[in-house]
Amino acid sequence: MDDYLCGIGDGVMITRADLKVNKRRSLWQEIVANKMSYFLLTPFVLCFILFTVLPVVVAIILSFTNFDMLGTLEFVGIKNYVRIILDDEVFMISLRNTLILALMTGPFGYVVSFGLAWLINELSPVLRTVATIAFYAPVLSGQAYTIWSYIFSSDRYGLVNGILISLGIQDTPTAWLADPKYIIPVVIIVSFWMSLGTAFLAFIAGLQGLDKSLSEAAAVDGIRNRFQELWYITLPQMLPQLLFGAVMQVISAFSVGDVSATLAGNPSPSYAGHTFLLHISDFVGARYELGYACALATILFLMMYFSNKFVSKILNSVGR
Amino acid sequence: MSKIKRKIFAGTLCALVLVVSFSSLGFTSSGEVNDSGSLATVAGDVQEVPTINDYATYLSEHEQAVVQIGEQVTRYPAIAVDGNANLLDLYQDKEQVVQFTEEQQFFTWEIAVDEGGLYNLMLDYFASASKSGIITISVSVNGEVPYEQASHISLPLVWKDNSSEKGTFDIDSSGNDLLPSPEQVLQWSTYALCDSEGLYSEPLLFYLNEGVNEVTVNLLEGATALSSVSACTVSEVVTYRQYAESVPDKDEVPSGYISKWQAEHPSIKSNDSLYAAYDRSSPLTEPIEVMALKRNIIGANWENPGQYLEWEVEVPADGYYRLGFKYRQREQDGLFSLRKLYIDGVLPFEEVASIRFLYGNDFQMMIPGDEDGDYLFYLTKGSHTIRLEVTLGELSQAIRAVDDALEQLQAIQRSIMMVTSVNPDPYRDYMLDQELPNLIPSMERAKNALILAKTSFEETSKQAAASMRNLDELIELLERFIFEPYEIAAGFSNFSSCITSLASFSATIKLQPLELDYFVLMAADAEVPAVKANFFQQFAYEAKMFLGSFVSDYSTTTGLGDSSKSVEVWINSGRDQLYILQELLNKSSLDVSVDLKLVSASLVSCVMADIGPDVALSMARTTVLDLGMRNQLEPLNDYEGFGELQSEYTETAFIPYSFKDNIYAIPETQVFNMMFCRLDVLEELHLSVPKTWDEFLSVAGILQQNNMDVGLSNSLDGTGLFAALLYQNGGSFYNDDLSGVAFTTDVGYKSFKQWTDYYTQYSFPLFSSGYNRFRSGEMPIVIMPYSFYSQLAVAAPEIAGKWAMYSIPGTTKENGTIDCSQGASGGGTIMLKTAVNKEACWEFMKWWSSAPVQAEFGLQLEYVMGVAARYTPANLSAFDLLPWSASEAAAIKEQWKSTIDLPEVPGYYYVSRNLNNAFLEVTVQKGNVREALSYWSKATNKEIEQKLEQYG
Repeated sequence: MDDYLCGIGDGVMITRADLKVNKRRSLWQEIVANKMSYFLLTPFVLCFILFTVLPVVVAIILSFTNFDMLGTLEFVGIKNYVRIILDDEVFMISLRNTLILALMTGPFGYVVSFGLAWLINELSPVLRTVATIAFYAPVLSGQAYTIWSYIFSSDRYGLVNGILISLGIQDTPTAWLADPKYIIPVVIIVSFWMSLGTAFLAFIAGLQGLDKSLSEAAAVDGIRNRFQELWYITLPQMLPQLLFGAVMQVISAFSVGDVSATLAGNPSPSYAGHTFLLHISDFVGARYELGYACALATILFLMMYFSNKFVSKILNSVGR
Repeated sequence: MSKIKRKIFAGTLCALVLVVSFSSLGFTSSGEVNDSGSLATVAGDVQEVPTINDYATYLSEHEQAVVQIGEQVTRYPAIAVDGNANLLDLYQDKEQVVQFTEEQQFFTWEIAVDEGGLYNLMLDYFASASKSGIITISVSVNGEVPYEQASHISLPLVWKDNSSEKGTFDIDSSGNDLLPSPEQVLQWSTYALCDSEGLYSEPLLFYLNEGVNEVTVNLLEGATALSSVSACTVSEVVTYRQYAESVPDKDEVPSGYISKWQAEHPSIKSNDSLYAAYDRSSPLTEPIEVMALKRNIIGANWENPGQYLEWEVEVPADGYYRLGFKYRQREQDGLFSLRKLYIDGVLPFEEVASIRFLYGNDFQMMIPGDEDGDYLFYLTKGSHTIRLEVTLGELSQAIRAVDDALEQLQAIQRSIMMVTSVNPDPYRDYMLDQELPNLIPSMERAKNALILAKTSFEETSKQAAASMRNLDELIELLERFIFEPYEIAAGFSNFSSCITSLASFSATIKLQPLELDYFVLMAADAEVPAVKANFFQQFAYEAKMFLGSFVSDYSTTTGLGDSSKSVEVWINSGRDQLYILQELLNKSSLDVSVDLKLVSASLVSCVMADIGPDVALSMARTTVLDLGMRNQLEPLNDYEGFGELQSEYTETAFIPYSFKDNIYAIPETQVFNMMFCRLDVLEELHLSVPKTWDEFLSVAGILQQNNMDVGLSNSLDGTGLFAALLYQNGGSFYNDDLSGVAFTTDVGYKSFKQWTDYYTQYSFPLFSSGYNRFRSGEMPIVIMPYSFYSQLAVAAPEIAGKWAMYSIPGTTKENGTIDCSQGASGGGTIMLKTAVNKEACWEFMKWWSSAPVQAEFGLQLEYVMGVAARYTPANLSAFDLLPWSASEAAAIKEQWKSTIDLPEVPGYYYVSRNLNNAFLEVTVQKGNVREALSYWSKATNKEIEQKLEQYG
C-alpha cells in the first residue's frame, strides 16, 4: 500500500516514481480533472485559511515583535522567547499548573470517560440515554462550573464550608478559593468533571457502531474474557473515535483557564491557579503586550501539536 | 456543671469590664455591666417594642371621644400665633402666610373647637420647588406629638409633564418618543393630614379639647408655606346605592357613546418619577409603531400609597357613564393592586375607595362595578378630572399586623443571636428561656400578632393564601419554641430565614404596581373595546416587528444640529442612559451635533482597529491611562475653560487621569467608602458610633462578644482600607516620582500590619456579603462604597430609619484632629486624538461636565430607574443638586473633603494584584508581614519599571 497512491478520479494506479517525474503537471491535471470536488471544498478551505491558518501564522510572526496593540511594532528577534524562559517567574508557575492539570484531566480523564462509556453502553437504551445526558450536561451548559464557586465559596455559607462546619470538622470557614494550597485541587476536581463530556460522547458513539459479528467470531475463536475482547476487538474498531477523543482531550487539557479564572479569579492569589492560557490572556487583556502573548501562544501551540503526535503514536499500538 | 458555667460567666464578665474600663471611650454601658449578674444583661434581654406611640394605641385611648362626622365638612380655622418661621403679610396671592424655608423651623397656631373630640387637620400649603421633591413635617397638638405617624407627614407635591397640554410627546430624529420632562406645579393645595406610609387609608385623627388648642407644625425636610391650618369634621362617605339615589335622574348621553383617554398623558401627577413607558408586547397597545418606540403606557414606579395620576376628560352631555381602565398588573403574583378613584377631587362613593386590579400577564379591562352591574357615574357636560390614587385599602390592617409582628420577631432574633451566635450549636442547650426571661412572653406576643395578620389577610383576600404559608410556618415554629425552648438553637437558622422572607413579603405587599394603557368613558349600553389581540393580529404584528428589527437600530441616536460640527460619542452603560443623554442634548442650546452610540466593546481594541469614537463617556481610570500613555488621547489641560472646570472638582480629582503633566479626562463619577451603622443595634448595646480606629476596635470587640461582627470592604485598589490607613498614618501609595509603590517604608509596614491584623488578630471576617448581614443585624457596622446607600434604601425597607452613614473611622493626629483620608474610584470623559472636530468635542465635554447637566442627568436617571440608580457625580456642585437629605449630604461631603484620589501608574494592574497576594499570604497562609510585603512590592516595582522604560 505504501508504494502506491490512488489517483482520485482517473482510476489508474500511479507509482511514486511516476509521480515524482511529472509532479507539477500531474497535480494541476488532477485539480482540473476534479474541479468539482475542489469547488465544493473552497468555502471550507477559505474559512480555514482565513480563520485558522492565517491567525496562527500572524501570531508566529508577531511573536518576534514588541507589538502593544496601539503604538509601536518593532522586530525584536527572539527576545520574547528569551524573556519567557529566563525572566518570567509566573510563566514557570503557569507551565507547572498547566502540566499538572493536563496530566490529571488528560490521560486520567480520558481513561475514566472511556471506562464510563464502556459501562454505560451495557445499560438498557433508556437508562443509557439518561446517563449520557447526565455526563454530557456540564459540557452542554458551558458555564455550568460557576456552580462550583458557590459550592467552594470561602464564606461560611458556602456549601462545603457549611457542611464541614455543621459536621464539626472545622469551625471557621476555609478559604478554598483564596488559599493557594487548595486552589489547584479544586480546579482539578472541577476541570475533571468538565472534561468527561466530549470524549465520552465520542466513545459512546463508537461503542454503538461496533460490528457485533466480530465479537461473536472472536468468542468462537477463543477470546477468554471481556478485557481480551476489549483490547483485541473493541478498541481497534474504535480507533477513529479514540483519536478524536484524544485530540479533544489534549486540547482541552492544555487550554484549561476559564474554570480557574471563574473560581479563583484571574490572576489567582499568588498565581496558584494560573495556567498557560490565563498567562496569555493576562498579557493581552491587562498589559496589551501582544507580541509577548503571541510568543506564549506559539509555545502552547507547539506543546499541543507534539502531545497530539505523541498520543496518536500511542494509539497506533492499540490492539497490537 | 452550673459551677463551671458560672465561672465562665464570671470570666467573661471580668474580661468585658476590663475591656470597657481600659478603652478610652467610656461606654455608658459600663455601669450596667457592673451591676448585672448574668451574661443575659450584657447581651440585652429581648427589648419590648414600644407601642405606646402608635396611632392605633392613640385611637383606642380616645375610644370614647366622639369622631366628629357630618355630611358637610365643618372647618375650624386656626390663628397663627408664634414660631421661628417667617410670618409674611402677603405671599403668592394669600395673606397671613407662614413661610418655612429651612429645616427645623416651626410655627404654632391656635384652634378653637365647639366640642372636644377627634378631628382631621387640614392644611393649605404652597409647595415650593425643592431638590429632594419631598416636604416632610411633624405636627404636635398642645405641645406634644400625639403619635409616631404624626412625627413625619409628607405633603404631596404636584407635577406635570411638559407634554401634558399638547397630548403628544416630542420625538427624536428616528421618530422615537422622548421622555417628557416633569415640571413641578407651584400652586396652593389643600391637604388633610394622612399617614405617609399609607398604612391608614383615612386621614389621621387628632384629639382636640373643647376650647382653644395649640397646633405646631415643624418642617423636617424641604420648604413650604402655609396659609391656613384648620380642624375639620370627618366627612361621611355614601354608599353606591345612596349615591345613585342622590344624583339627578337625567340621562342625555348619546347611545353607544364611548371615548378613549390615553393614560400616558396625565394632566397632573404626584411624583416626577411616574413617567410614560413603552409596551411593545401587543398590537392593541395604543399608540404603537413598528419602527419607532412610542411611549404608550404609564405606571412604572406607580406603586407606593399616596401616589396618584390625574387626567382631565371632556364629557359631551349630562348623564350616566361607565368607566373602564385598560390595565396590566403582572408583578404581584396572585394578588391585586388597589386604587382609590376620585372624580373632580371627591370620592364619589365608598365602593370605589379601593378598586381591585387583578393579576394577569396581559392587558385586561377593569370596569368598576358589583354583582348587580357596572357602576354608573353621573357627570355633567363639560370637563372633569379623574384621579386614581394608590391605596392599601382593606389590606392596611393586615399589613400593620405583619409589620408589628416583624418588628417583634427581629428583636427576638437579635437577642437570641447575642447569646447563641449566628450559627448556634444544635446539640447544646443554651437555656434561652432562663438567659432571656422576656423571651417566651415576647414570642407569645409575636405569635399573636402573626395570627392576627393571618386572619385579617384571610378576611380580605383568598388570593393571598399562597403568601400565607410563610405566616403559617412562623406561627408553627414559634409554637414549638414556646413549648420546647431547647429547640430554639436547632431551629434558629430556619427561624432567621423565615423572618427574612416575612420582611420581603411585607415589603412587596406594600407595593401596588399597575400599568395603564388607556381608560374609556362610555354610555351604559356601549360596547367595551377588545383589549387582547386575536391570533392573526398578534401574528402579523410579531412578523412586522421581526422584519423591523433588521432596520431599526435602538442603540444609536443621531444628532439634530449642524453636521459639520458633528461629534461621535460612545456610552458604555445602558440604553436608559443613552436616551436620557439624548434628551438632555435636545433640550440644550449646545451648538454641536452629537451622535450617541451604545458600545460595550473594549475601547482599546476599537482604537486599535481605528474605529474609535471622538469622545467616550465613563471610561475607567485604567483605560484612560492605557490610552493616554500610548499617546491615543487628546490632552485637555490647554483647552479654553479647563481651569474653571477644574475648580468644580476636588483638588485631587484630576490626578488619576493625568500622565506626565497631561490631563486626559474630566472626572465623571466618584465613589468612596462610608461607614454604615445599624443605630438600633448600637443603641441596644449602649454603644456610640466610632470615629477613630481605636473606637472602632472597641465597638467591634463588644459586638463580637455579642456574636455579631463588622464588615470591612474588601477592595484592594486606591479605595481600599489599606490606602486609607496608609494615608491616615501619613504615608503615600506611590513614590514621589511615581516610579513604584512606596509600601516598604516604616509607615507602609505599619499600615499593612494594622490592616492585616484586623483579620488575623481581631478576626474580622475575610469574606462577607455585607448586604444581607447588615440587614439582619448580624453585622451592625459595615464599611462600603457610598452607593451601598441606594441598595439599602431600595431593597431593605424593613430597616428604614434604623441605619445611617458616617465618615469612615479615622486616625487621631498629633494636634488632636481626626484624619479620615481615603482613596476613591470612578470614571471620566475622554477625547480621542483622532477626533476630527476637536473644538466641538471640547464644547460637548464642557457641557456634559457642567454641574446642571450632570445633576439633571442624575435626576432623570433616578426617576427612570429609581433610587437604586442614584448618580454619584464627581462634580461637587452637581452633587448638591441631587435629592440627598441634608443630613446624608452633610455626612458624604464631610468624608469627601478628606478623600484623596490616587494617581494611576503604568503597570497599575500589578499594584492591586500583588497587594492582594501579600494580603492573602499574611491572612490566609499566616506568612510573615514584612517578608510578604517586601517580596510583592519588589515584584510590583519591577513591572512598573519595565513599563516606564517603554512609555515613561
